[in-house]
Amino acid sequence: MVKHAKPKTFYETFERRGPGEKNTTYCPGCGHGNAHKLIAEVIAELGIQDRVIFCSPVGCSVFAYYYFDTGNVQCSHGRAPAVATGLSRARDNAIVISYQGDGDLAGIGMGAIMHAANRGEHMAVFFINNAIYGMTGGQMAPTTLVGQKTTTTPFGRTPGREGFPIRMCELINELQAPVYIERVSLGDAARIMRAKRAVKQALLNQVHKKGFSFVELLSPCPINWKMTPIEARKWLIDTMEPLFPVKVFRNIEEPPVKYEPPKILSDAELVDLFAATTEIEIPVSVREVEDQYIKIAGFGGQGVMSAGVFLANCAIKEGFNATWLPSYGPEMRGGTANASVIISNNQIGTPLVSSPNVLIAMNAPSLDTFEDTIVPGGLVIVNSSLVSRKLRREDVQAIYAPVTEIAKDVGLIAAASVVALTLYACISGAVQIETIQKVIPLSLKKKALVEVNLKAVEAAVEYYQKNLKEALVFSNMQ
Amino acid sequence: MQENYIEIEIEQCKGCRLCVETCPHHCIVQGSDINKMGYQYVRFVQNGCTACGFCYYICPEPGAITVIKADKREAVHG
Repeated sequence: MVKHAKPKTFYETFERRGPGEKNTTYCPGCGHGNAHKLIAEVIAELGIQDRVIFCSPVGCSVFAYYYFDTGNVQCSHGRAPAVATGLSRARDNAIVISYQGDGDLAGIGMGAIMHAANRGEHMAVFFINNAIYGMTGGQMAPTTLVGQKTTTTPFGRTPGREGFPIRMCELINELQAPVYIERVSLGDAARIMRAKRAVKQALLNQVHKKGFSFVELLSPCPINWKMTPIEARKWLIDTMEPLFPVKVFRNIEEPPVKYEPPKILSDAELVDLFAATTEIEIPVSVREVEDQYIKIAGFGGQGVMSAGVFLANCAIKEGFNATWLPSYGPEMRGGTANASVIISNNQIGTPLVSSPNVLIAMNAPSLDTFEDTIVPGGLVIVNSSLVSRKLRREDVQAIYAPVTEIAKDVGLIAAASVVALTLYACISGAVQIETIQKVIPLSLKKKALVEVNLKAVEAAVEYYQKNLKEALVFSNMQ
Repeated sequence: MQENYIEIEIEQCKGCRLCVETCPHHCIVQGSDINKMGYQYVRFVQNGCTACGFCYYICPEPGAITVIKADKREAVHG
C-alpha cells in the first residue's frame, strides 16, 4: 500500500524548455520543494484542485506553474497579493494561494501584502522566508539576520547600516483583519509534518471562506548560505528559529470582518451613474476619413481633456473607431496638459500620438512643445488669443483664431477648447457639427454649461464662416 | 512476510543527503554512482523500514521518494 507518493496536484512531468522533466528547477536541499509538496498534498487531501488558483511570485519559485496542475497566474514582483485580491473577489468559488519569497513579499511587495492583510482578503499566503535573495545570487533580503553574510553584506548585516531583519508575522499580527497567522519551520521531517498542519489550516480557512490566512515557512537556501543541505537545515533550526519564533500568532474562529461585495448595478443605474445614454443611434455606414492623429494641448483648466473626450465621443457616435489618451506633467501651473485623440475607419493599435497630423495649440508652450512633431502637411490650429507668434514651420497648414476671445464673448472662457474643437471639425470635416451639438448635452450634467457650450459651438461656426472659409477655399485652390 | 520499503527515482534524486540523515533506521545510503544530472543518488537498503514517511517529507523533490507500507492482511495470507 502506497503511504506517501507524489501528490496528484503535481503534473506527471514538468513541461518546460526542452523535453519534460520529472524534477524541479530547485537546488539540492532547497526548501521550496518541501513547501510545494505540503501544499500539493493538502490540496489533494481537501479535493480542491479544480478550485485552486496559484499565484506565483518572482524568485526561484517563479516557475510554480510548471509544477502545479491548478489554475496559475505568474504575478509581477511582490504583487501576488494584489493579483490574488482580484481573483478571489472575481471568482467566488476560487481558492486563491499567494506563494511568495522574502524578497518578493517583505521587500518590493511590502505594500501589497500589508494592504491585502489589512482588508482581510480571502487568500492563503505562503511566505517562504530563507533570509536571502535566492534567485539573484544571495543578496541581503529584508529578513537577513544581523551578522549574516550575503553578497551585498560581505562582512555581515549591520543594523546601523542595513537595519534589523523584518518579522512579517509579527507585523501582520498588528492588523485586525487576518484570521490566521502562523510561523512554521522546514528544519527537519517532524517540523515539516507540523508545517503541513498549518498549510492545511490556511487552506481550510479558504474552503470555509474565513479570510486572510498567513503562513510563514522558514526555509533553507543551502547554495546561497554556502552550506551543505544538512548544515543548512541545522542552521535554520539553531540560528533562524530563535530569531523568528515558530508559533501560532493568531487563529480565530470568527473573522473580524466580512467581505461585502459591491452592489451590482442594473443597466439603467449604470447609464444613470455615468450620465450615459443610448439616444443617438450609431450609423451603420461611415464616411471615409483619413486617419486623424490629434493632439489637443494647453494649460490645465482650458478644457483640453474634456475637448478630447468630446471629440472621441463624437467620432464614435459617427461610427468611427476613436481613442483618447490624457497626458499631464507634474507641473501644476505653466506646464502643458494634452490629450491625444485618434479617429480612424480602421482598428487603432495604440492610443499614443507621437507624430500628430492635427495640433490644437491652446497656449504658447504647447506650440513650442509640439510644433516640431507635426507631420508635414498637417493642420495646426493656434489660439491666437494667447499665442502671439507665428509658426516657424512652413510645411504645415496654420490656422490662427482668437479662440479664447470667442469663448469669452459667449460667456465662458473654459469653453475655449470647444470653440477650437468646432473650428477643427469645420476645417477638417472629420466630425460633423450636428454630432458635436448632440454629444455636448450628453457629456455635461449642468444644463447651464450645456447651453453656453452650445453657444460656443455656434460662435465658432460663425467665426469660421466669416473669417476662415473663404481663405481656406482660396488656399486649397492654390 | 512483506516489509515496508521505499522506492527512489534515481533520476529525480539530487543527492542532497537529507533523507540519509533523517531516516531513523538508516535505511538510505548514498552510493558513488551518479545519475544523468550528475548527482550522487541515494539507494534504499532494508534495515527495518517503518514507513514513517520522514524521508518523503524531508525530500525536496516531489516525486523522488515513494513510501510503501506493507499490507498486513496480505502478509498474513502470504
